[in-house]
Amino acid sequence: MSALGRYFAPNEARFVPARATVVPKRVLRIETDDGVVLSEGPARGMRASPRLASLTRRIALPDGARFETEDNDGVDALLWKLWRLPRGKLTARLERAWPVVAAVLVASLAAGYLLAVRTAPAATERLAKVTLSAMAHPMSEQALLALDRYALWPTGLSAAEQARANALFAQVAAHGKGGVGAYRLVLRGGWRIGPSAFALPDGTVVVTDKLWTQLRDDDEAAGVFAREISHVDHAHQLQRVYQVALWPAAVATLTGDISRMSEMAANLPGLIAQSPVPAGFERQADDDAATALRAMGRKPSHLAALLERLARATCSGKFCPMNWAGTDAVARAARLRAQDVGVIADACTGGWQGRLTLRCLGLAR
Amino acid sequence: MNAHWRAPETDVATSLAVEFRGTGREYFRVWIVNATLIVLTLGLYGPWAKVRTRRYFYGNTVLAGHSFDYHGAPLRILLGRAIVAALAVAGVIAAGIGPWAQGAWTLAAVAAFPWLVLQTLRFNARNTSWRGVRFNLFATWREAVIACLVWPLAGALTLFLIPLARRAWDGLRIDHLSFDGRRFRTDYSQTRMFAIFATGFVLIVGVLVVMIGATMGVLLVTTRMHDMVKSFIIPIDPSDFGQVFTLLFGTCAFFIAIFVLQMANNLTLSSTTIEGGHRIVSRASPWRVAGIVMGNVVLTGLTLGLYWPFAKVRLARYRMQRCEVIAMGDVDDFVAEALEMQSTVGRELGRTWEFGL
Repeated sequence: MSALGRYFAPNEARFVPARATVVPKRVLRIETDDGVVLSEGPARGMRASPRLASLTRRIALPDGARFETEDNDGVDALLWKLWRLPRGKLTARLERAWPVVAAVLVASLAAGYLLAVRTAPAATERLAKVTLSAMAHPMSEQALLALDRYALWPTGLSAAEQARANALFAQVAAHGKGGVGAYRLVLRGGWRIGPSAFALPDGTVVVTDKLWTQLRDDDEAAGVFAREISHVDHAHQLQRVYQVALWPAAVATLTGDISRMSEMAANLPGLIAQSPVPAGFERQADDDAATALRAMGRKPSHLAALLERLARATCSGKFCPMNWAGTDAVARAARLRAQDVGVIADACTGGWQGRLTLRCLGLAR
Repeated sequence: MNAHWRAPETDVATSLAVEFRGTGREYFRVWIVNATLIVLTLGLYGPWAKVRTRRYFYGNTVLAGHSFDYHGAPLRILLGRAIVAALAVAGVIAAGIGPWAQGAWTLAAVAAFPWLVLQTLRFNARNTSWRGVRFNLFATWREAVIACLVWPLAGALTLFLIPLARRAWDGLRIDHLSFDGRRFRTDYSQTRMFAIFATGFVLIVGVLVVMIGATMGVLLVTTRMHDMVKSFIIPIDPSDFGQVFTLLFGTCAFFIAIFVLQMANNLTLSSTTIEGGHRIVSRASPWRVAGIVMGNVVLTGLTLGLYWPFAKVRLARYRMQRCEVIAMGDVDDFVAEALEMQSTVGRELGRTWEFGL
């Protein structure tokens, strides 16, 4: 085995056509075609450039001379014979098998996408559901205290209105997963928060006076309560907190570290006041609310009307500031209307991610 | 600077062509392997990928029948990136400590920036060779501060000093470069560099004026049409008009920026000489380069990034084929002398802290 190339003597710019071979005792010999030995020595101190595409390979010899060749396979064979590991051979193989490599790249990117879009939310949901109630209560108390200090004030509703709200809330709560005792209604005047309602992890549902006064009938009020109770049942607020800090949350849940949980709870008031609820959570709450309303003999279309009204009141053209109706309210309202008779409308709406499911692509029922 | 500059040694000039022998198809394979390994190692393979990319491009750049070579060690690049990451982590910690710590960190980061740039330039130069002769860079931190902080800041604040900032940058990366002992020097008239940037400024303003005029014209015509024929609908939603305008102007500005930079590069390269009287000439057409870059951006976008390696090779090939070196005297003798000097002086020792980015 030999490699044909060019030999540059030490400090010499001109080259001599030469052949590199390995002779017994693992000695590299470089000689001319006529057999004149130009250089000969052991592999120690010799340095060969790694293989890359069809680039010229260079072997730097200990005396400052160098041998250059385009024969990549020849150099690799010489290096094996010299008991030297040819560098770059693995990547050269991968380059030859580039379709496989490209497939691996696509698969890796798809796996990364799934991890970010599917697995991480699933992990936060699982974490949120296993969170101890002992942790959920202090988190909720802390969040409500902060909101009371900076964004809410005591309710201005009359005692009769409050009683009506509590009675209706109890009816809806009976359809929640936790039953009547698992939820409580808190009415508050809004200062920085407009017509809104939100759920806290321990089952507290906060409804602002501004929202309550905009409700036209009990069906709409029941719809609001049912949506918030669904948020509690699915631990949506906890999931949002955990999405912000997934790893600390996992550690805290495993170790039962309540102090760390309370640190994370500091995010909750900010999330409630400033960050929109993810569209997936909104749709899940809509579906649960529709089921509860139908079970109570009420129509989900009333909730749909409320969503549309709130969206119209707050949106200006394409610009829609954050409000209780949430993102994509008009499309969600249409979906809710279809549920008056218990038929779930086509969920393949919204962004392209929402359409990229087996069902939307017609590959599954 | 350049105290040991020597006059040309001979008057016999030879033109040495520069060519790029890489192909998009071949580089695509290198690139896809790099991309895959970077993804699979969560970015850790980045330095190795960088070395492979540089080796591919340098190794395929051929001057007078001999290719360049890149010898950078990936671990040195990893070290450089670790230093930058440590600096970023220190910034986060400092922000948590308080305003004074944040201020101290900002000062340290500002001081470190030219140092990092200098280290990178030096690392790249020292790890580049042609015919066995390594390049080198002899600049000080103070010179890097002037080129990387003072002039760019002055240029950003005043705009009309940008050509001087460019001159300072050229001075740092070229006037301090050597081909093992043989110094490079770039010497051009400031007026010409000012003229290039003024051309860019005039083009940008011209495009802006034309676009504002065209926009007003379109609005006027379509409104009149709508008044005359009620069924005529204005083709673009007025609320989208700003976005369309920004997109068109951004595209034009990008084109002009590439055009101007290529003119500046041509001036810099064509004004560069190497001790011994050798000179570089760059004749790449700024229009053509801007066109190639725009085409590359569009095709890369349309192919979801898959055209990127072909784009890179296409641009490198055009730029290289429009370059040449005018050698004064025998190049073999020149190289032999540099090799002699390299072996006599020896490579600089104590590079423990040498790193790239």
